[in-house]
Amino acid sequence: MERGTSKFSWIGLVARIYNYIPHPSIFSNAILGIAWLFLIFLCCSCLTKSSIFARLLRVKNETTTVDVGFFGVCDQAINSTSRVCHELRNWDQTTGGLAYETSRFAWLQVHPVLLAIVVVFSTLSIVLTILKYLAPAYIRQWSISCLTTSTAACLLLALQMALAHISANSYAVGMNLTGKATAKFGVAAAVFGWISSGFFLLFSLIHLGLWTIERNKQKLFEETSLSFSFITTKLRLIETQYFICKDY
Amino acid sequence: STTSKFQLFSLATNVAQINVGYFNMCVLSANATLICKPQFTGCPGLTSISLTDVRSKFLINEVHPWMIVFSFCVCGVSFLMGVVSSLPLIGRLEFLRNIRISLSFFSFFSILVTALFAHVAVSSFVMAVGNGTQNRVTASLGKKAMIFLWCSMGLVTLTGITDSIILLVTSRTKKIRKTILEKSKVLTPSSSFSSKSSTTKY
Repeated sequence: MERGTSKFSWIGLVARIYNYIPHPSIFSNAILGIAWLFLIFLCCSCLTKSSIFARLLRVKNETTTVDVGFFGVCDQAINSTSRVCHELRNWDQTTGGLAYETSRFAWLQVHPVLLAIVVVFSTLSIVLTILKYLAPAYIRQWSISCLTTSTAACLLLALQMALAHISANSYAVGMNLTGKATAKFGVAAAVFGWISSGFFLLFSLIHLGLWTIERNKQKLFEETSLSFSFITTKLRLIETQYFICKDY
Repeated sequence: STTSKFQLFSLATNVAQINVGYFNMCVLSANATLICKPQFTGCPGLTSISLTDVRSKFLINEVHPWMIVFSFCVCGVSFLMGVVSSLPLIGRLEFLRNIRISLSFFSFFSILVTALFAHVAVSSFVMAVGNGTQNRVTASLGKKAMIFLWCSMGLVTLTGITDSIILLVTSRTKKIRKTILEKSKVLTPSSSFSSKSSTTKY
């Protein structure tokens, strides 16, 4: 009866799910790699001509079409087929009013510096994953650090995607209402961002399961040590009594 | 006339200024006439932006005014739970305190989301409308409303932190009392053992 009344805990559930994953180390490393790749592709949006698919916002005027990403902006005149791409901060004010305006919006409202911080955390997580194989003596410390950095990357990326979603949608509505231009929110950027954030969360959960199993092993070791120390104390007690009898 | 001072944003033309709040719009004309309505169909000085579209496409879809009503309800329930917990006999119940702390965290989160939505959406909209170079409409952010939103979030955060600290201190005190009781129980076999040994010696 005592076995059936064991308490339910979320960490126990995570550990049980972790036991069902085949090859959890390879699986978690693949998840981290996919999340990092999606993140890098999101950062490179609108920096080159071929990467405007993952744009954040597309603004059309009578004369130009501007695609804005997190760090880049692309400008294309209506009557020409060529497209000019630049970083956000390198865009000159004199070349085009709409491109400069949208670049200023992306830098001031979307806060892509937050995405740069996410890239730092995710790269640190990958470095820690590599260190698990280079220095396996400290695998517990590397795993805990991986859990921390990937959780931070997940939360910061979710915050960044929320900010980008709200601000880009509001900017698009403002552009449409004033009649300056026709603006449309880029769905692919949102999809890439949320997939990346979800995969960082999966990686964190898998490492939480690993950490739980390690803690369970440590608890078992401590209980065994306590049992042996109890036997040792008992032996000392018997020895003391024998000593007292002998003296008398 | 006080409701026109705490607007989310304002649109200014040469003829009039429109203050847009969560549920109300106020038009201040050039001859100092102030008219406040939930919704305006047209404004004499404003021709390029439709106020109906401002309300239906921006306020309802982006700012989400239902969220501030929701936050108000959550904070109201949390405040009522605090009032109920301060009554002499009911305050000792354990689950009321847990409910109050959960509600406090929930109200913090809802006000945070409300303030983020309002600030980010209105800032982006104001930047999109611009400073009147092209269509002679100047948009500006309502700073008083934003300051009020963030101050209320700060106060709710302070309340939540205080409640958490009080709960931690109370539970720690209970643990210390339990430890003292256990120690006083453990001391009894030691005394009996010493009495037994003295009996054996005699």
